[in-house]
Amino acid sequence: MAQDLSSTTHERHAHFNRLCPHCCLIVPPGVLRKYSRDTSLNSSTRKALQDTYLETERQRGLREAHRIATLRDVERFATRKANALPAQHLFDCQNRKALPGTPVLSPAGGFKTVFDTTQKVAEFYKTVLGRNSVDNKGIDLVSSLHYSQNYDNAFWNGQQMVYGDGDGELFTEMYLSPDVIGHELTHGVTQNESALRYEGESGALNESISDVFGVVFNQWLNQWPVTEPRAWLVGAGIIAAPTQAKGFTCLRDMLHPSATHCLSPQPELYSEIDPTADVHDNSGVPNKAFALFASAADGQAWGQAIQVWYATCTNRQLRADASFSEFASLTVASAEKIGATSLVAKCRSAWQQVGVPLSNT
Amino acid sequence: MVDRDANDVVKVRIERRGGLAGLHFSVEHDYLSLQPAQREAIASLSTTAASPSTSAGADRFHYRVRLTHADGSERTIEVPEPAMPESLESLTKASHPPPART
Repeated sequence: MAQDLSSTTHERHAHFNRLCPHCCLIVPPGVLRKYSRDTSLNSSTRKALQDTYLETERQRGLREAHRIATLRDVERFATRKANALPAQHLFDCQNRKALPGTPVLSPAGGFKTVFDTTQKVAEFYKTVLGRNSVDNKGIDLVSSLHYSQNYDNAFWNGQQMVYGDGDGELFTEMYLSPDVIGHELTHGVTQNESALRYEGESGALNESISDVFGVVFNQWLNQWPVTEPRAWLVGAGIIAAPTQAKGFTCLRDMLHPSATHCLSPQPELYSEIDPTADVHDNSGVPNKAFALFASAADGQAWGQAIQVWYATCTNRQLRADASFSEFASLTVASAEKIGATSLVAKCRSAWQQVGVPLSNT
Repeated sequence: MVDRDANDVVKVRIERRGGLAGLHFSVEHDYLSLQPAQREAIASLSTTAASPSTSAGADRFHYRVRLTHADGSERTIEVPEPAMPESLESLTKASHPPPART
């Protein structure tokens, strides 16, 4: 049975507020959960209750993270104010799923890796792009490690970054690729800028933007030129040995999205995408467009190429449900502001090579 | 909408999509072969109202649970990761060896 899956959180809240205008903000989560399963209520009411329950739990996690952060010695984690990088807070989920987990006061091992790499991502955003943290206002960065058991994933939950340990067969610890940390943090940036809707072409753009900034951060970190073969790989450091032994070297390859060394190969041309596919499937097209553009534009992708993409991602004209075509056109407009005529031509050419037409907007 | 009873479910197919990797996994089980806790979770899902297709943030897993009833009819329930019962989540974890390179 097809479900109505189109409503946003705001719309769902508005819907539930209409159903229960005086009580929805103070109803205990357990009550919301109980009545979301009460078959004597109609389907739409139960859906609203279920959605509100999920949102309540999400907000509870955020409040808890902030509460814990204020209870302990923040200075032990905080970057010194002098360099104006955001403070960090690390948590240990201890293989459970409750977020944020237990505060980690003395980061060592994997926690130190995450702390140091996250610090570098913040430095990349600050020095290369002039941005102060995910909100550009210096908001603290929160990371939780050891989420769940054998968890083959890393994610941004709307407030913080979360890393699993991998199952040792497919993936190893998910924070071992610097670009993955850059990828997840960039989801926070997108959330604070265009808030690209996480479905369809806008969802694929959302994913692509995280791949682009994650990979360019890794290039900047390692001082890799655009000609370095490793420069365009996403998630090269998280592939576990048994999967490497089968010839897989990365999750995705931005320059060669359909290559067989990719664990998750993607279409390379706009004409090849399935509009209903997962957002991670279709991100290969804008990924390749950026890789072609950066390779043609500069020896280093953290030069003009990333400036063009960043100007596009922070452009107020970028709509939350933007298409590939709209995004492409905005990159060309950004290139016109940032570089010479040749840069604009290279940008147009990159989109042309992946078959994305420029829109008239 | 009329909710179907989970009692006449004969087959359960669970697909996992999304995540940072964007890999797709699926597993299919006869309903009767499931553990009691897993059957309870199926019953709970089948009587719970539809969940949103996406959860907050990005790179979360997304599950699609397809129930096949004794009369051959099917019902698909979209389940975002935060709402997926752990007993069912574990079914997909056990089902994804590294893929063969093509």
